[in-house]
Formats: sequence, structure tokens, C-alpha cells
Amino acid sequence: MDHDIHTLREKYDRILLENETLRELNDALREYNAMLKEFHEAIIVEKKRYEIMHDDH
Amino acid sequence: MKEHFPTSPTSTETKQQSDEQSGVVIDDALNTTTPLEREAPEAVLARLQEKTPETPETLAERIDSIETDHERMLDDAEALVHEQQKILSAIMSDIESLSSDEQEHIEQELEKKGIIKKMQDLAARVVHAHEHAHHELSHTYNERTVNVVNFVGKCVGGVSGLGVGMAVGGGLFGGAVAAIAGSKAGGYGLLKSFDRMAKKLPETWQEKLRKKPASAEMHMSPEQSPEMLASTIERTQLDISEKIDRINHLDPDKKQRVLEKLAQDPRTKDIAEKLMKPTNKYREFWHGFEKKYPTASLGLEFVTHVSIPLATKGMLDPIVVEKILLGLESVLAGGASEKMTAIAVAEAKAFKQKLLAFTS
Repeated sequence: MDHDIHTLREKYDRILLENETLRELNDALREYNAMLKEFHEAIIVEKKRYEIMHDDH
Repeated sequence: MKEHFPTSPTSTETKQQSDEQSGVVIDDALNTTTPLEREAPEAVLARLQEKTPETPETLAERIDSIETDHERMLDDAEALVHEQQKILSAIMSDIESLSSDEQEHIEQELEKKGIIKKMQDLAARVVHAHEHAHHELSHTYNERTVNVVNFVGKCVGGVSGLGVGMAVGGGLFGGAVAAIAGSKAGGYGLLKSFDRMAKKLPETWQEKLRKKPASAEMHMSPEQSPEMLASTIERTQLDISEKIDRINHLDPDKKQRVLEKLAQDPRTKDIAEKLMKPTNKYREFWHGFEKKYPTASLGLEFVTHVSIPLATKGMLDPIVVEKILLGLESVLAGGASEKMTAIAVAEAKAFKQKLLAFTS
């Protein structure tokens, strides 16, 4: 019984650690994707601004 | 574009589920004391959890729960990479239609707003998080975990290409090409964009892009084949990363002392110099190339390569260590070519020994 608990405890701790690592990776990916979207939006906005500036001229 | 940000339950959420199950017990515990003696609920919970006997059944139940979390997080990682590819694809097609004047205007504005810098920082975080995940999870029992981490890894090379490409003067167009070139897991849309953009590059570049790696051109003995050398550096690099990790986990005072000693060490300085020489040579070459071929705007290879050291930036403070890592990464990414690789192999080994001496 003790052996079972020990093995299960080890497995539990290992998966917990793996989950933490995956969570960090996903958070980083999520933030990067949000930044890419911001980057994309900024390109669109600046392109529009450039067009307006040159239309005025 | 589909606005989907995959979410996954946090360990707090998992903990909350078990907290809810313990709710009755907590209420009982709270009610057995007079208001003056009443403990804070968190303290009661912690005390009760400590005392709750752990049985194989309760542990198995908890494992089931966190395994479900694990699978969900793997789904999320895949979905996030797919999402990233879609966003990149959309960015590529917009950039592709810009005139060079428009590109210049947009670049300047993005630079002013600090967007490029932010992208670089976040890209470095992704690369670092992936390195950590690769290190922690590449030997896991779960085959799917390994596959997902490897899948994310294939895209990581391209993650920083965009920001770095622009930062070194590549412009939007060059940065975009670098982003795709750095990624080894481009979706169809991305690769099509790359194909269209590559056609705009000078013929010499197109030849370069089309060229298959030919070890025969390297004039090296079989044991010094580019693949063997690259693998040697990669292995050494892993060892170095592990040792750096150990330094990073030292208590702040000890870490500072180790780093100061390392930075003052004559041999370490020498290694840094030797590694920076080819790195600078490489950098100068591509800067010259940019001037020669303004339509290409940047050294595609250089940008792809310098995107890697971003991962190591910020890990250690002393400039000498950073130089070594930068040099090592750049030379490694340089495609295991010419004399640079031999230098990298020798110096990486020396640096590994040096780190070993400082950390053992």
C-alpha cells in the first residue's frame, strides 16, 4: 500500500510539474499571438494613415 | 480572423475543485469554534489538507484530474501554434501588398510605438519557454506531450524572425521572409506567401533559397561533416544551458559572485573574443549585403540566425557570458560552415569546461 502511494505521489508530482511547464509555454504563446495581432492591426492602421496623408497632398 | 484564445484550467482551478469537495469539512471545522477562536478559512483548509489521509484512491482521483488538465493544455498549445500561423499568414499578405514607401512609413511608426521591441521581448519569452519545456518534457512518458512540444519547437525558429528581421534593418518585407524562413512548420498559406515573397528577392538569394545543403562543398572530412559538427555544438550547447541553469538557480549573492569571477576569467574572455570574431564578421557581411541588394533589405540568413540568441538574452548579466552565448548561437546557426564551426566546437567545449569548473 505504501509503495502504491509513493508511486502515485511521484506520478502526481511529475504531472503537476509538467502542467506548470506547459502552462508557461502556453502563456508565452498566447501573449506572443496577442502581440502579433497588435502588430497586424498597427500595420493596417498605419497603412490607412499613410494613404490619407498622401491623398491630402 | 477567428478570435480564439484557448484557455485551460489552472492548477488553482483544479485545487478549487478539491476545495469545494472539502467544503463541508471546512464548514464543520469553522462551526466548531467560537467566533473569537475562528481561524481564517485558508488556514483551516491548509490544516485540514495536511491532515487528510492520502490514499491510493484519492491520489488516483487527483491524477485523473490533472491528466485531463494536461491533455487540455496540449490541445491549447497546438491551437495556439495554428492560430499563430494564421495571424502570420494574414500579416504576410498585407505586407506583401505594401509599396516600399508605405513599408518605410509603417516601420518608422511601429518603431516609435515600441512595437518591434515588444515583439522581440515576447518572442524571446516564447523561445525561452519552449527551451524549458523541451528540457523538462522531452523524456516524458506521454508520447503526445513530446510530439506537441516538438511541434511548437518547429515554429519557434520563426517566432522572432519578424521582429529581429526588422530590427536589424530588414524592413517589414525582409522581416516577414525571415519569419517564415525561420519556422520549420509553415502552413500552406505561410509557405505560399514565402514563395511569392522569395520571387521578389534577387536572383542570388533565390538560388540560395533553392539550394540544397551539399556537404561535398564543405571540403571537410566525414567526422567533420557539417551535420556532425552541428550536432557536437548542439550537444555542447545543451550542456552549457544546463550549467547556466544551475548558475541561475543559485542564491543571488552566490550567483553574482560566480558571474563576476566568470567575467574576469582570462580564458572566458578569450573564448568570448574568439566567438565574437566570426559573429561580427558574419554580421558585417550581411550588412554589406543589405546595401548591395536593397530590395532584399536584409541578410535573410543572418536574421534567422540572430533570432536564436534572443532566447539566451537576459539569462545572465555579465556581457562576457552574453557574448559567448551570442557567438555560439550565431556560429551554430550559421549552418555549420567553414572555419567558424571549428571555432565554435572548440570554444563551446572550452566554455563548457569553464562553466563546469565554476559550478562544481
